Amino acid sequence: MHYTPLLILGLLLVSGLLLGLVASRLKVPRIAAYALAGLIWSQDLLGGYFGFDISTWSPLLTNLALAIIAYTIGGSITLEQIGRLGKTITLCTLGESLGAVILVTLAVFIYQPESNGPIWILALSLGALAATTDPAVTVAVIHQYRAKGPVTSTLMGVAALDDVFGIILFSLMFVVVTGTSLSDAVVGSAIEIIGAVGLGIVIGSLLAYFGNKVRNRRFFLPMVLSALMLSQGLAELIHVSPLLTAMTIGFTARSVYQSGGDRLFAPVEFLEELVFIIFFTLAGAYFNLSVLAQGVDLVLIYVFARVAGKMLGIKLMTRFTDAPKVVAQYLGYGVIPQAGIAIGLSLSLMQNLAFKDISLLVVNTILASTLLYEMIGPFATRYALTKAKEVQS
Amino acid sequence: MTNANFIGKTLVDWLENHHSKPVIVTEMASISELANALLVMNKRDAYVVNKANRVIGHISFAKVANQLLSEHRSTHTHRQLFARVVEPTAKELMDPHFTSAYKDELLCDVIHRQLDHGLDDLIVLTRDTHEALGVIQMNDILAESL
Repeated sequence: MHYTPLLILGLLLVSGLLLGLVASRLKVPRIAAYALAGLIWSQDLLGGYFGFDISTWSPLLTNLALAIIAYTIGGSITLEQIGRLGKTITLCTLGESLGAVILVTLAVFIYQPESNGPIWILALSLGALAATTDPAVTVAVIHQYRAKGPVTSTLMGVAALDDVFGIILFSLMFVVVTGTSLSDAVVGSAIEIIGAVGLGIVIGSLLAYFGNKVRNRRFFLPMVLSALMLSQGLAELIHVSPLLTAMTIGFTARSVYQSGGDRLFAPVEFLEELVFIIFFTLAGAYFNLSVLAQGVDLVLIYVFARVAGKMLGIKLMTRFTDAPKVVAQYLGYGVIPQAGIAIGLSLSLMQNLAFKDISLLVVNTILASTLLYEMIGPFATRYALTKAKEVQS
Repeated sequence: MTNANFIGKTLVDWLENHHSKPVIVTEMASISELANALLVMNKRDAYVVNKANRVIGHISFAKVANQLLSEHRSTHTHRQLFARVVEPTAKELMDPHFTSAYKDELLCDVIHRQLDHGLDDLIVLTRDTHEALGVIQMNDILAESL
């Protein structure tokens, strides 16, 4: 029997939603439920029994979903607001993002885990995925304990800003790895990045222009989605980074449109939960026990190197700021959680030939580490806020 | 059905008998200043003016409350998270595409506009300089129509 992509996708989403609702009721992290729903339909379980094939159509969906996330993150802040974030947040974000990227890359490269593909590509891929954090966990813990103070406010800024850095670093890694030679990689990377930013500025400006002309709110969601789909197609056509293009569209549209972004961003932000259900159920469906068994050591290396990199990066960077001592001491514990964006980015490797031999291992490593981070993340954040004496209740 | 006869009445005519001041803030007003201004004047709509006194945007009470009380929300989008950290100004919060009316328009032509956009206070502007002349209060229209 032939199972159509829509049937498989429908099954993934419905199971994700149902388990997600049960998880919410039981106060268990929803993303674990989404991943479990995907896992049910993986090749090791029902997906293999029914002969489901998600590899042919899932990249299209992943790319669109990632473009939506990149667009909302790009439009989440303006240039003036970046200026007002302050030195502490900016430097700490830079420190913890780069710290995690460098340490994970080095750890994987030095450890030389068992892999079907080149170790340097595996190391760079996992390294680039290490930067992002999950602000949802951070905000939930801050809200639960009514936390207030320098660690809390710095943590909120860092958790939001490092996703921007994460997407940029991942895009850089992607263009470098897909370059055919070192010189080609350098020149090609520059062209791909400048081209993506240029394309993003043009489409973002056009989007803001039409946003100013159109008054009927019903048109805003179709307008943004159409612009994103067109931009992704054009980016592929002219070989520039689709992720950077989408993020630049968001940033430009927000700046040119000059408002809090309610019209051009709020309708798309409503899609975030759907996007994360797609990411986690797909990642769960790509779960492969033999691949994970082969990479258990890799998961542990990734988890520990990422945490160590983030903590070291923050310790180092706070020396160049006037941040209170508690920020240097405890902020690192707050940026441990990692979830949706890392999963989405790892899924995007599945379609590219350069990552053919390592992408399944990367997706499984990130999925397993995400579940670990979701378990330890809230406790680590609570520990940071409690030790900093910022917990109010 | 109402007993009121709004036909033929211009907004200037209406404002003569029902004059109400709008809540006006500058572009750089903070969120606390905005909330204070709305609370003091007991209004639900604030308007932002630039240095030339031209009205350039609208901010609703709900938006101000959402922003000011954001620490009580357990989930945030990236945009809300940044807004919480950097405390946006009135210019960054406002909607530049707001509903307004000109002083020479007929009241019966603008009531539907106010209803469609759920505005308690519709700003009335001069045609050339876009300066605020007052607001049409939905309360007054409703009271008149009874």
